[in-house]
Amino acid sequence: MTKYFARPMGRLVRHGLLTFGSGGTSLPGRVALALDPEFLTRARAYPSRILVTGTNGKTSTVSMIAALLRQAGRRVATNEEGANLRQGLATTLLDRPGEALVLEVDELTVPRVGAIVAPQVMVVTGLFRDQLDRYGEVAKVRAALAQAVVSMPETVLVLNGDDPLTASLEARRRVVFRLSHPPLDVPADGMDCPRCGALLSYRARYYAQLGEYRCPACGFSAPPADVQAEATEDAFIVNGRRLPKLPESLHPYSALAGIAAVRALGLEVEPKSWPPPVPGRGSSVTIAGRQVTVLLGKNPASVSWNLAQHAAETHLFLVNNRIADGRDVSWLWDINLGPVRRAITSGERALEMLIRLRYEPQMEEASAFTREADAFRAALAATPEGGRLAVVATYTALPTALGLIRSPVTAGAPALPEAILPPRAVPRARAKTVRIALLFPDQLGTYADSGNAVVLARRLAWRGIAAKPWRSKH
Amino acid sequence: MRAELKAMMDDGVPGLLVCGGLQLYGESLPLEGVEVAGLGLLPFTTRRGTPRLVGRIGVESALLPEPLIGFENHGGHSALLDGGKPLGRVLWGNGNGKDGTAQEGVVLHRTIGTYLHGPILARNPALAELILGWVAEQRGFSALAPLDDRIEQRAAKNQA
Repeated sequence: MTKYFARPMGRLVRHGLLTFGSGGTSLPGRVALALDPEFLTRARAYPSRILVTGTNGKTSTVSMIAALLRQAGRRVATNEEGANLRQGLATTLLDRPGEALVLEVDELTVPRVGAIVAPQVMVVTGLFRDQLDRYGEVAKVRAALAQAVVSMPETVLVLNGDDPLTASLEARRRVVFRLSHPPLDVPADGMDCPRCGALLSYRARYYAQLGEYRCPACGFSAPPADVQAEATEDAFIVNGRRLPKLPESLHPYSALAGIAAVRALGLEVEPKSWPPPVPGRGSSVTIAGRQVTVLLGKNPASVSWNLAQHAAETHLFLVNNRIADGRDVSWLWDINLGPVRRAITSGERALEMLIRLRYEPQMEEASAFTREADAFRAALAATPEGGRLAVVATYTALPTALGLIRSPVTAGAPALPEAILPPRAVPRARAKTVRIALLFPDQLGTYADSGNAVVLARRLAWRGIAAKPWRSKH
Repeated sequence: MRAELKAMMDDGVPGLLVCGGLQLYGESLPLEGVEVAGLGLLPFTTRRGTPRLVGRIGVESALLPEPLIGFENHGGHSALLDGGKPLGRVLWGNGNGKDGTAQEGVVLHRTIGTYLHGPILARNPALAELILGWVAEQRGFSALAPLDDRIEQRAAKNQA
């Protein structure tokens, strides 16, 4: 009997939370699920259902799909970003069903909800290393998804063909999207063939494990694309059709995944415009004549791509290491920090980030502040007028970042930094050379261990001794 | 390959092995569920164990003035074999295994094996300096000028 109260009780709880100003997205759903464990089956009241999963780009892909479906005249419901576990999904279902449901779902929640929601389409955006200490190696995430897909036989899988971990997922019907992407140096985590375990060889490498790959042992290779795209200077070309140029904040994979998903649903919708940035995913505001762009930094792939994409004079890194960020901060060492020259760090792991920046030879100045508000103020002051400040925040630091741009503190005396990067040593003649060998970097190079070689090389260079790196193949 | 690596070790070429690299240098290790022979270069052995050992770790080592700090994440449980010397004693975290010995890593000649990543040398500049000191000695360089590592010291204090 209690299940008849699931929806009204959940709505009541949500109303209460909204009234008292704590924007909880999981408690109402938890109440609904407690009263009716089958509550998620209500998703099936929506005629069209799309799930979006993967480690990166879920939220942007959902916004892209929603924009296209709305352009086609559908009433669309989506979950709020981050509310992608069971309770959050249930909260979304408290509303009266519309015509289309587009949900982002946490990778390891898919096995628990996939068959219940029974979507017509599920998008897997890509699988990058993310919160390793919580989820184990990325191969395990892939295995869990592969298992879940078996319980969803009617679902069309929309897959990133450039990602071997994603492209190797089997389904009765698949729609593969692929992109031509300029190379960006980011270490990979999934270079082993997901079919046979041999080392993949690449004809073109985009970033991390993405690219045009082939397994020399079993022949597994990047599948042919159903939807192929290329981002050029002035257009986004999809299957030969010229679409408007993508905004800086929209990742071409998110745009492409959205287009492919709607096509997999059986609709032909050509995007007339692109959805605005999701807050914290490349959204910008102007403060005191400076453009401030907020970027969620999830993992090496996302931060590296965002840094390359959003050129900025100054960077502010807000780094926490709570459960949702990953407790282990060693991932910071796999970020490509090439575009960073001047930086401020803050958050619970501000000093670790500063240590990371210390080993970037191109750094001009960097310092750490205990309080985020002080850090933001210093970063803004370090940015020239008309220039840009890029704020990179880990998952739990993102609300702080968005709060800072809403109400920046400018009154009172500026705070002093907690730590400052030591001045760079004057380069001297390098008569001596030390060879540093990295053994099996492709097989063993997890947790940023190659950072150890960088540390040795830089500490030698500061003393005028050159270091010659050498990487063993196998 | 094994002969070259052994010759380097015996010659006192400094080496650092982290996690999988450490296991590989040992006598045996689990690889995709099967126990396989390692390179047999270190008196160290690893078997598959539960639970997976994940979390912050601190290690007191006779080689260093300050504790080593880092993060460990390994499914293999290891033990030193007869005569093996550990890198140090676990202050917090797990180290080689949950066998009550509180041992972490292994040291032989100038090869150091450890489960600490983070990366270990960035977080523990004293260990980087120990290795570079060995390099300088071996190559006949004059003593290396000290570096300013106050940020790392402050970060370590926050961790302990």
